Amino acid sequence: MAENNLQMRRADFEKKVMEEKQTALIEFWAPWCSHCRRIAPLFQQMAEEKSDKLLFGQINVDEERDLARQYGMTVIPTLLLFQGGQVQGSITAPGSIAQIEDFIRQFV
Amino acid sequence: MGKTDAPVYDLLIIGGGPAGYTAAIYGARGGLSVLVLEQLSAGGQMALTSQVDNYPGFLESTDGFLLGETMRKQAEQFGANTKLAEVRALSLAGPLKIAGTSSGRFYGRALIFAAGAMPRKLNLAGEEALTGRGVHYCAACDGMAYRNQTVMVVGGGNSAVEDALQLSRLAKKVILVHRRDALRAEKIMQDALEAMPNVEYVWNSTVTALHAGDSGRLTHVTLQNLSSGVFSDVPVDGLFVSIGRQPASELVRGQVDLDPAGYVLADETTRTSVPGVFAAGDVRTKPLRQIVTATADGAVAAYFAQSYLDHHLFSRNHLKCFW
Repeated sequence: MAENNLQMRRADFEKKVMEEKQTALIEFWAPWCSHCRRIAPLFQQMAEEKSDKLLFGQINVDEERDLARQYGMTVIPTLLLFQGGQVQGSITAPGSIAQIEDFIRQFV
Repeated sequence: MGKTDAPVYDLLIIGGGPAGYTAAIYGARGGLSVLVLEQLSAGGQMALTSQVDNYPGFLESTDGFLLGETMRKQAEQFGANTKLAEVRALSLAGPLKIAGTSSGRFYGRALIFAAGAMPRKLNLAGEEALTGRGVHYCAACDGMAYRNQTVMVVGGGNSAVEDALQLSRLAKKVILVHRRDALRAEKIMQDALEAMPNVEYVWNSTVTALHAGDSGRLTHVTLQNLSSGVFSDVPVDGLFVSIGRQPASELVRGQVDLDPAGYVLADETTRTSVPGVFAAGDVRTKPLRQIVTATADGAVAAYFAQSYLDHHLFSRNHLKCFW
């Protein structure tokens, strides 16, 4: 999971989400989080299917502790929807692909 | 129900855990067209653990998530299909079984219901983060990790007592915490537990908080005595939650027979009260819920589904005529 091209570091996040203000779905995860592992394949699938609608990114909270703290992460996986550089909504530990799709549909 | 131009699968499988994907492997190899509907990821509960030690065929522990993925790939290799979607409704009475999902409707001539049974949680802050790192729901699966350590078991029924008994043979100390002052378990089980010298009982109490150390693992729990209201902190290496399971049978309630606890009534043939509908894995009534019994059910369900299809009135080519 760590090898996929959705991994985002701070520099990338700041450029694409904060400066360019791209609409983005960012998942905060960690390698030791079992639920994060479970949603990895479907997050990847959604990224492939919906890349025209929004930017998908994953931030490893172990590597980006400051970012995790900045966005108040306490439970992961948490997915934040950014628009105009601001958090518009969040979903924590989604139980199904449908939940994530319903969540995204509110914004794009 | 009207005519449908959507593809009709021979076999619709609800749930992509070990039961579902074993059924998919056997169904596909039997020449059936198969669709597995899974809402999250292959593997079901198995996918939550990185350490499976008791599934036969592995000298070293295997990763549950990867095992689930492998089962899925194996099924797909034989031609089974997977759709990631949340099933919201099922219609089981007619000759066509229909699954209404977040991604549209799917049709099957036979249906295997393998939606699983989730262990009940304590619903305490941090429980999810500590799952597998001190907090467990399966003593048979994870007890070995606590050899010569101190573990706590929460619960008062047969499962809790069985788990405590199993753990007492491995752990240095077992602390059984129950919110009442007497166990619900069968007397013979209680007696067996009482005979173990390393088991302590904490009555009339519940766990109110979980505490982790710097390593992110459980270090101690807070208990509250419900009679006195007094709190206490107890250091433990592991906590086993045995307060029962919740079968995911809501989708079939009212359509197939369930037992009082909500499990689908089906014996080892996996046949339910509805012809053409089979229940495989944790969701059906059974004595032992493990990966290996789930895979067994999957194979048997596919076998009986095939038999049902072979003897069915409507052949696969003529189904459209009746609609």
